[in-house]
Amino acid sequence: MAKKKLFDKLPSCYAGKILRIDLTTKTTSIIPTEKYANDYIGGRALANRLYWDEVKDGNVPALSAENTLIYMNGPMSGTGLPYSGRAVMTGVSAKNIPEQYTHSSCGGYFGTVLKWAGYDGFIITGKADELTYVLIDDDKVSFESAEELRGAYVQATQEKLFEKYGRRSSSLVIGPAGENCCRHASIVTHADSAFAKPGFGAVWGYKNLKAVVARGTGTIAPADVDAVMRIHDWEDNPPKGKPETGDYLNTIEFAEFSGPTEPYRQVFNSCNPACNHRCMITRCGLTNPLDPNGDKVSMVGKCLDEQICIMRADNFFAFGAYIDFPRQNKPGNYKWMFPQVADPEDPLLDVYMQQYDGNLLNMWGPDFNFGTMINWCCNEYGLDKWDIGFWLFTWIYQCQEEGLFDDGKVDFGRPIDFEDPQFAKHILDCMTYRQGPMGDLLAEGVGRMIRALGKEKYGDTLRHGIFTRDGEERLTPVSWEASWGEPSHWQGRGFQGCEKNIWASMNLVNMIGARDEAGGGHSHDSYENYLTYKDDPCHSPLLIKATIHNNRRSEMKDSLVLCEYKDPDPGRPNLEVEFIKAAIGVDMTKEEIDHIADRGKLLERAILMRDHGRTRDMEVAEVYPWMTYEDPWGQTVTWDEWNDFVDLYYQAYNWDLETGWPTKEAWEDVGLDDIADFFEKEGKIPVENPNYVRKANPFDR
Amino acid sequence: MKNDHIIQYPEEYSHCIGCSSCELFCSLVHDGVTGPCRGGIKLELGKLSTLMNKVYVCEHCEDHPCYEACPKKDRAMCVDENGTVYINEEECIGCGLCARACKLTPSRITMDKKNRKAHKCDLCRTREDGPVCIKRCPVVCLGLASDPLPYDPEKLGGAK
Ligand code: SF4
Ligand code: SF4
Ligand code: SF4
Repeated sequence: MAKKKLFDKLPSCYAGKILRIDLTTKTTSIIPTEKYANDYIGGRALANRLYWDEVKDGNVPALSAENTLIYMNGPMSGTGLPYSGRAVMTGVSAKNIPEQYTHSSCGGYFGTVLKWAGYDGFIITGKADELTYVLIDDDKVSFESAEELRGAYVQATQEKLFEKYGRRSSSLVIGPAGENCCRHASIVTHADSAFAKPGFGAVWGYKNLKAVVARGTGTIAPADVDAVMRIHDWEDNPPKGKPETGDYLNTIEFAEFSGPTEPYRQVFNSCNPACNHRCMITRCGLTNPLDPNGDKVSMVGKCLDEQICIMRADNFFAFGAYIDFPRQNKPGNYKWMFPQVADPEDPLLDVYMQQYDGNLLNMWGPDFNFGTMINWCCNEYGLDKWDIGFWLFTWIYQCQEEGLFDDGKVDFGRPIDFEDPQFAKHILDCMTYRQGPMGDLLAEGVGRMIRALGKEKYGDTLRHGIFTRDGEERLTPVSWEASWGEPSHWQGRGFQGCEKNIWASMNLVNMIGARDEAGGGHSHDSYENYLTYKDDPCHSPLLIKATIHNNRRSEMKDSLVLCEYKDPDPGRPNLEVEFIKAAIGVDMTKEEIDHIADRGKLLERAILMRDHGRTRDMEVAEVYPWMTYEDPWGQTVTWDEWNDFVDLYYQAYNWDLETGWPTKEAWEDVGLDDIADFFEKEGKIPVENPNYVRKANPFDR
Repeated sequence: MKNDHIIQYPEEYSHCIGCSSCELFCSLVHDGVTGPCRGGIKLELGKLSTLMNKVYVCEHCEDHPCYEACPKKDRAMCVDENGTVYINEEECIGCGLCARACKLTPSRITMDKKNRKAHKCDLCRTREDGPVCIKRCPVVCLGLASDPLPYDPEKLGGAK
């Protein structure tokens, strides 16, 4: 397919410039967005290309001056389109094991404000000689000392910057966790929007970058204001969709939930401009866990903090029992993502609901105050909530249950107590400030800490007391690490006990990247298709098709940039076509959009191959072991079954079965001829090996 | 007695979620663009620890000192038969006197210094469907002062 030309002149939904920032030399330069937007549209796809061009050798430590981080908006940000204010960041992750190129996305106002200042994104390299923030004030860019912000919490940092630059400014900041190079550190904006998973906060900390502040006076225009309006009208009243096979959660049962001891008000809100989706829940009037005698606070959360607080994932809106929320502040119109929001009239509802029942995890007693402490510390210290709530604390709990701490060799400096919020704070203080006997290890991140302690004992010991749906005990390791140094997300074990078709598909997605594709990459397919492959998903070309479809949606939602809770939306197959038309003003077919998505995805593979030596053997070895533990249905994969599935996937992408490298045609099909030439010189254009035989299973557990 | 104007309902009725749809759509329908120096309604994000957001918009005062201050009164700054104070942008010379004369703080008139134009709420007087900020606020926290309030002030503890 030939590349589609999107425009002759850069449309006014783009700001027009990408800022190159060198912290070492304190200099900046400009790249015109026009150079890239036609072929790579924006966001992640554009960042991947920029990274390929800007970084000639990305095989550098995450915590180094050489690590290059790219922040990119999409063409949708600032246009008034719903859920379009998100942005992406890419670079070498501090958390991945091994460290490698990956991406993250984040909501908030910063992206829109940056566009009003005139920039679609920025590239950060180098290392400042003192703690610094970069001020982007329309076309004036300056490097300011952040010494007076040293140690400041995430909110205090932003409030100080608001005081200086007004409440129309916006900033991306790190908290003390980032300053101390903790590998779970996030980069945060506004109340609770964060680039969290790859530990980019630690990279900023290493680079002495406390914040990037934007303030602008410019404008952004969508191509068609009426179309933007129509999209909002549709969102206000979407037609009912048909439930699909989706992401099913574990049921985590507890006898009693120890709830909040004070009343509070709850509102549903959105994380970015013009989003009418309201997936986040804000609780107003809570005691500040870090300052109980201070002013009451409002705490933002999504599904995640409900789960941390109450560890009862089947009840997405569990807080309903405790709320008194204003009549108008109801949640917005979710897509059909969870079966519990299925059409109550659907005759198949019972079937969907049956699938939904997961297994029993038996974690610590759900406790509002304990969960709230984790949330607030993560917010204020700038830590990734997912990893802390679902990996660090479950790990401590499960190790304790298995008696692994009984010999006293691991000393947290305070007795473990899951009923005491101060224990949660203590652990996060140690991690953030590298204090106490375990401080430095905790700051290295859960995966590295476990390796340092001895993975066989502290990572792989099997936890008892978890049961399948049928009441059989099933064993999973005490550490819920799935692949690439990332905890399990939609990998079928650990927290999200989804069915085999889902986790097999999600593991394929993880396998060729370096992280879970939360959101857009969630597994989605029609219920009809699901019925054809549910008993043997790993041999289904239909499931491969669905997986590639989900890869493309993930790539596009991060390139336009939209929100993972809305794209893909099975009730709205033309969503991307409509949004592109409204913002950019170009008619694109779904195939043309997929072509850009595939180009972006292959660029990521190119970077992983060039900088991190990515091969089939590496990636299969990463994801396979986790799937040998039983899922909530008692299901696993065999070595051959998994490799058959990988074969189908590679074949669909036209990648070599032995090496996992794309063929010359695969590069050229998406218009990456120059990258094909590069790999030709490197000797990484695969030659078919007639004697290729699949390797024997190296994992004999 | 004030002329009709946009009001923000008390948070007990609806909590402004800070989505900025009101200001984005105000400037989109008036100018076809979004930007902090455009539009007639301004969202001020509350403290991050409380998230109590506030919107500021012209109250179309009876005495309208902004209008009185305009050197091109009745051509640039105008008042219509309903008492709606509006700016005829073509005539506006961007002197900023109206913005300074506004009796509310912060001033309900935004200056676009780059383009030397003043922007303020015109109650969407030429828009068939009425104020777009009201229509697009996803949580119904904006309304017209003249409309019967969709809540009972008594029950809400006497809020405005
Ligand atoms: S701009 Fe200010 S002074 Fe003029 S009518 Fe509006 S609120 Fe009153
Ligand atoms: S009524 Fe119209 S002009 Fe006034 S603030 Fe609302 S959208 Fe803007
Ligand atoms: S549209 Fe409504 S909720 Fe959104 S910022 Fe404006 S007043 Fe607040």
